[in-house]
Order: sequence, then structure tokens, then C-alpha cells
Amino acid sequence: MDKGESVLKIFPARIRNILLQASLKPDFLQEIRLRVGKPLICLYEGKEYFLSAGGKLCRDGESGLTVSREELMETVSYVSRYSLYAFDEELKQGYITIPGGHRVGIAGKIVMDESRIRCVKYISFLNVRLSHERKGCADTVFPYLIREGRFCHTLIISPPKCGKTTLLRDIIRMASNGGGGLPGQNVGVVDERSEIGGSYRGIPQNDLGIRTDVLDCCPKAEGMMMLIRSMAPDIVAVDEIGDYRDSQAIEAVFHCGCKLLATVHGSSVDDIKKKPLLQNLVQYHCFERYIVLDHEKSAGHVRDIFDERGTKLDSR
Amino acid sequence: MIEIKLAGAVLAAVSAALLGFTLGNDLKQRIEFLQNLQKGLIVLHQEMEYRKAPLEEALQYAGNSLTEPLSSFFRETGIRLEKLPGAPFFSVWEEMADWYLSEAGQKKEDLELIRQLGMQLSGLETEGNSGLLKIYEQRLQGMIVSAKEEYAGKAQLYQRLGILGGIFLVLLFF
Repeated sequence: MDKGESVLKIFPARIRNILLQASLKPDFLQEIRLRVGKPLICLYEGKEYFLSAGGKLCRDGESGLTVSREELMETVSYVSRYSLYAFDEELKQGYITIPGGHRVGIAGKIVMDESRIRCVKYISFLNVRLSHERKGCADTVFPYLIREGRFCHTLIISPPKCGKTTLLRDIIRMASNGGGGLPGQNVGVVDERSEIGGSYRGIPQNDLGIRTDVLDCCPKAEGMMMLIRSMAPDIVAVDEIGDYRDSQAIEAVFHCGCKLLATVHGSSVDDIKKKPLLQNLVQYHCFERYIVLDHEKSAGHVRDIFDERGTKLDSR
Repeated sequence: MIEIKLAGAVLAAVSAALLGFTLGNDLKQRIEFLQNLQKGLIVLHQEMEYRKAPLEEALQYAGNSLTEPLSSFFRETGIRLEKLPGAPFFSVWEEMADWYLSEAGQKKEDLELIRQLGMQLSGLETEGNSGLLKIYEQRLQGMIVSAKEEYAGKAQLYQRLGILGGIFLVLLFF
């Protein structure tokens, strides 16, 4: 099924027909936001648009299509497969993943159980974020990650919304399938927020390669330990390390002979050295490659690639 | 002439007796239907509460452990719910109940219970489904007990009335 199709099918008939009339290209559609009693908003080609009842994108909210409570709840029932009770854990995280790997963010009244979130009631806001994989975005970077026929411990450093997860996904795929002098690697992925694989019913909706195992919705620290104990990965891939709970698991990965492929929020290697968890890892040259991203030219732009000693291997 | 009368009388007698037995059997089949429904609810409850299976999966799983017509009703409802673009839960539930259960000659009271169950299941609360199914299981248990009492009281009566009616017709013919 086309990814755009899978998104449209979660909406009730009226909204679905209007979205179809608008003929939006799924590759450029980033978000669809529904709010009860407010106009529907699309984030398309990086810009915000309202959708008129005639299916036209417009900048004027007055003529935008208003979402009713019934339509929003109908959308929730399709997203949750009529079974909100089955998504308790996902609701505590604030989203549900649907076929195609798209994420539907949910907001409403939060019910607390002491200090923990118990559930979400009176859901009134939805944010449908479309998943986009960009196969080939790691083509120019991948050769730098191989040394003497082996994959290097790699850290991707990136500010928010610069495409680090997209790049991570493609590196995982290339390492798993093999190529560029590297034989196919068993890659274990800890996908805590279902962003890397976009798994639905345990099956990644994005292409992560033929030798990849995914722990979906699993905390990173526990996931890394589970993988190295049971799945014998050559590479362990995680997104957004930096929590103090990850440090023991990261050490275990380094010590057991697996390679680590990870991402972290930051703007440069010097920025990373200020973070307590990563300071030692950088100081003792645990990571062999650093890829620094920015959005100077476009999202996903690779600014620099460094080796463990800070020597620049490539600059763009 | 006498042979024809005799044949007619025997046929009438047998028909009357069979009618009595059929009416008794209907009562028995209702008990089996209610017990089957109860079993389906228990399986549904287990799937929803312990495995946190989505309704569409739980219904199909429950359907596989039941006999007709509930087997097809549960299973096909689950299959229909899986398809997107979707339709409101209750409209699918009602449509499937009309298709698979109305024609099967079920009592109105039983069909109304199933309808009400569908209305409740279509709610989206994260809590309460477990309690809701327990309430329906208890209601069903009460209905099964009543149905068994009705069967105990009436089945024999219908069968005997049928036989007596048959004997009466034989005497009438002769």
C-alpha cells in the first residue's frame, strides 16, 4: 500500500474526501493536525496551510475546514483500531504508530496516578506526522564509516529537526544489506519511540535492511543489554543517547565487541564534550567516527565527518 | 380407504409429536446459543484484558472457539473492522448481527443483548471494558439459568402435548 494512502484511510469520510481532492503529494506532506472546533492544518513543503471545504490549500484560517468532535473521535477509533485500551503504554508516551510507520500524536486531559501518567481522556487534539524515509541519503557518508573492512563506532551529532534519524535509518539499512567493502552486518536496533523503524505490529514499516532486528518501544538501556545477550548483533543502533541510564549499557556494547551506531543532540563535537555521559566516551576515543549535521543548506546536510582524534575526514 | 385414513392419521400423529419435540428442542438450542455467547465473551474478555489484543483480533480469536452462528458473527466482524477506511464500530457490529444472527431465529431478547453489547464496546474508554464484559457475563449467566428453567418446565410439556395431540388426531380420524 502506498504510504500516502495508508495515512488518508485513518480519517473519516468527509475529511478523507477533502484531502483526496487536495491531491497532496505524500513526499512533501509532513503533518496533518486536527483540533476540535478548529480548522484542519497541514504542514506541506515546510509551510502551514489550511484546507478549505473544496479541497484547496489556503492561508486563511477563516475558510478552513473545521474539525468536529465526532470526526476527531472517529479518527481516534480508526487509529486505535477501536481499542484504545490496547494502547495504554503508547498513550502514556503521547502517540500511536499506525501502518506505514506514521505517528499520531494525541493530546487531551491527562489522568495521573500519583506521579505517573495513567491515561489520556477527552482526546481533543491529534497530530498525524508522516514518516519519510530517504533511501540513499547515507550514500556519500557510508564509505567514511568503514575502516579495514569493519564498521566503525559512529556517533551522529545533530541539532533538532536536521534529519539525524533519517540518516541513522539509512546507515542501518546499508550496513545490514552490506556494500562498499563491508559484508552484511547483523544490526540490532533499539527503537524506543518507533521513529527508526516505524514498526506496526512488530514489523518495521521502513526499510532497515535484511539483517536487522528491532526492539520496538523498548527503553534504550534495557534494549541494548537484551540485544547483546540474545541477538548477537554486529552493530547496535540507538537514537538520542545522553541519559545517565544509557551509560552502563553503552559500556557493555563497547566491551562485548559490537559496534555502536548512535545519535545525540548537539551542534559539534566540542558541544558533546560538555555532556557528562559523553565526555568520557569522547575523551577515551571510544567513538571512531563523528558525523555532524546542520540545516544550513537543507535538513540532513552533513557538515563535517571526524575520526576519533578529531581529524576532519570530510567537510561540505 | 381405511389404509388412507390410517396413513393420514399416522402422519398427523407423527407431525404433532415432532412439533412438540421441535418446540422443546428450540428451547434447548437457545440454551446452547447463550452458553456459546457466554464463552465468546469470556474469551473476548481474556484477550482484551490480559493480552491487550485490539478488538478486531480478539473478536476473530474468540470466533475461532465458537460454533455457528456466533463463530461467523465474531470472526467476520473482526475481519470487517480490520479494513480501512473504516466505519463506526457500532454500524459494523449491527450490520454483522443482522446478517449472521437475525436469520438464525434467535429471540429478540438475545439479539437486543448483543446489540447493547456492541454499543458498549464501541466506547473508547481505556478503563471500564473489563468491568463491562463482566456485567454482560453475569447477565448472560442469569439468562442461561432462566432458559434452563424454562426448558425443564416446558420441554417435557411440549413433547407430551405433541404426543397427546397426535393420539387425539388418530382418534379423531377414526
